Amino acid sequence: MNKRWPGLLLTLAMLTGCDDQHILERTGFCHTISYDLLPDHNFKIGLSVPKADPNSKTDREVLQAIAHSSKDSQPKLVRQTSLLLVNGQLRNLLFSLPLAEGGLLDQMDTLSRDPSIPPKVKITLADGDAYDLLKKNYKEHPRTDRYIYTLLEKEASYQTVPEATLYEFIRDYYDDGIDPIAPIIKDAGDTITVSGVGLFRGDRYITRIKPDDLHILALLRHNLRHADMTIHLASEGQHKELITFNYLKSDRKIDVLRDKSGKPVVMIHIKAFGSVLEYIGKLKLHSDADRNTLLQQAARHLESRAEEMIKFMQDNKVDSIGIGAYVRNSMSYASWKKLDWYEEYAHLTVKCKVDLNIVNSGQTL
Amino acid sequence: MKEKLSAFHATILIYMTQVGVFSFSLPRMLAQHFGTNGWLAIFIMAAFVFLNTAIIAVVYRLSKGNSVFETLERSIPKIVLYPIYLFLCCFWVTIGCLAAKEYIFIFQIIAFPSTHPMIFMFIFCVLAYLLINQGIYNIAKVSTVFYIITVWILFLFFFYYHDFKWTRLTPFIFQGGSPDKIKGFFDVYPAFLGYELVILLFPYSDKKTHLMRTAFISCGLVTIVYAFIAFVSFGFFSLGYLKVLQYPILVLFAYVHLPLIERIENLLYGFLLFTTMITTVMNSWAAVEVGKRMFPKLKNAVLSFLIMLFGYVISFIPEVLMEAQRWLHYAAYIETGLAFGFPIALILLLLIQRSRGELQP
Repeated sequence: MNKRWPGLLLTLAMLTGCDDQHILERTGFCHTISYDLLPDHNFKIGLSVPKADPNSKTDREVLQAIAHSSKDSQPKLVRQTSLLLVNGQLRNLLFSLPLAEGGLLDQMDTLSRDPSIPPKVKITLADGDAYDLLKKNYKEHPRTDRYIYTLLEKEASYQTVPEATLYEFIRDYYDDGIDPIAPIIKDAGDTITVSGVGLFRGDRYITRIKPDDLHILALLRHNLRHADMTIHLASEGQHKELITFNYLKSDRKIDVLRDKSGKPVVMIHIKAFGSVLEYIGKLKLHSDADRNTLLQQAARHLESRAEEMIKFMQDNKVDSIGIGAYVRNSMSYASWKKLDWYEEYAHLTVKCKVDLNIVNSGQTL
Repeated sequence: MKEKLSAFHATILIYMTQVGVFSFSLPRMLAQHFGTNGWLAIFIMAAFVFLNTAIIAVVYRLSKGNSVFETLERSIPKIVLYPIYLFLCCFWVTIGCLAAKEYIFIFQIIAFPSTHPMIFMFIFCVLAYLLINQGIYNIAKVSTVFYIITVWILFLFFFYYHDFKWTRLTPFIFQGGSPDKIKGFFDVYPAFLGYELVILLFPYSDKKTHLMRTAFISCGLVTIVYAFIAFVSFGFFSLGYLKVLQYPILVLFAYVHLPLIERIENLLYGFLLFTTMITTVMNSWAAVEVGKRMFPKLKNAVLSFLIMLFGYVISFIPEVLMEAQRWLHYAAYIETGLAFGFPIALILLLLIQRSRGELQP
């Protein structure tokens, strides 16, 4: 009798597979979903699904539906394809800026509720119509959905454009001392390019950091591990002076001090090390005195740009680098709860101190 | 000579009985009830768990390791005991099967959502029945195997190192939670339950088992594991996010992204079946132990079958996850009361028996 049990159990276990079937060839793995807000407050939802069929002329299906919500669009999208659509391999969510301006919480709530959507799916903002961007094919580049994904992956790996995933966005939304951010991309004719990083207050898009300032944002927001950074010390007419750090490592430390009146003063210390493989200017890298002068100049330059960026964020009341978390941790819970943080933040004194170091300067003197 | 539980197997058995479905939502419950740094509440609860285990240790010492049923039957007439036995039998199998049903409901959030949950429940009950039939020694050995299958999952928690931030923990202690901390205590405490069943293991242990010492060790182990999971969750998610996450452990699993394979949460969650299985098996085994006192002539296999059948039928009642959760919460309140009340009552009884000279020297 005992020998029959395993067989019976195996049969029972196998029988469960007769229900809830997912056959690979008939399944469409959604790669990217785009969201646009229409004037009538409905959503235009776009969907890019890669196709594995070798007989097909195209390598993906792009579907579109007008709906009240993302789940509402599902049956409309399903009606347009022979594939069974699943979200398990979803890589990117593309939101148009007008939609993000109105707040993304409803979308985020639906997305995080759905267990089939991975928490590591990317959140990206689109300059212009998100669906048009997703639908367009770029001749010299891979499938557009994949193109956007690999572009952002590569940028994130070099830490120039911060990574924004569903998990990070929601976490920063719910945490009370930091605001979420997300990269912005745009159609640049024959290519797609990163046109900045969107800064949010809560779930609403407020403003953006321009592409040239992204390395400053990266330095302020987290520790860098292997970033590249060019600092333009002077660029008047023909006189150019610039220094490029490669494999830059940085450590960020935020201290909250009190001034005489008891108001918080935030000190951001950034210590960075990197190799210098390009320097254009009059100083000599092999001279200790020149190198120190250059590093001092570069550090002061970074400090002033960082403080400018923080001022810009304060004016827009977006705490994208998470100063609030440090201020919160420096005071009592009751005082923090009483505080109107965004008001306080707008008038906060924030100072930056940068310490740059050259690990090596390449093969020549 | 009759086989006795080894200290190692007993430790793992008690640990595996304790870890179950409650642990999946543990970080969220700590955040909701205790607020900032809610993970520290684990240590407060652990103090009560140790106190309760110490009370059981007194029972063990007073009864000299004899079966608690013998202690009861020595002084209380069977007509009074039978309804209590019947209640305990039904209650323990119910709590075991409710835990299983909740596990299945949670499983269906991520996989096989349209399959009837009672099909999974049937297979679960069959497996549980087969295990119960093998007796406590084999259950202990199987639980050791299950422990080895599941314990490596804890090492995945180092995967979250990069996204863990000390600033998210905040320096505040127990701020921003619900004002009713007592309710919070009773809602979270069931995550530790399972150690109280050690009271039924007395006859299956000898001096070498060091039963009570193993119970303390497993409670310590559970405390460390829970505190670790909760600590990582608080630094990984932030308080606000944790409060809205139904099952933070599932999201933690979903975040694991290996170079060649991703979305492994279905697999990882599948492994947790083993911890729930031991919780269900031990509760049902406890029910069978009580059942044996009522029907000593009934064959063990038949009794286990009837008890599991009862559990299976009972688990039809909660039709949705929320109901299963609510039922399990109510059952857990009673079990918490039992965990403290039953050994205290036994101590009183044993003291009376000792004063009457009924206990052997």
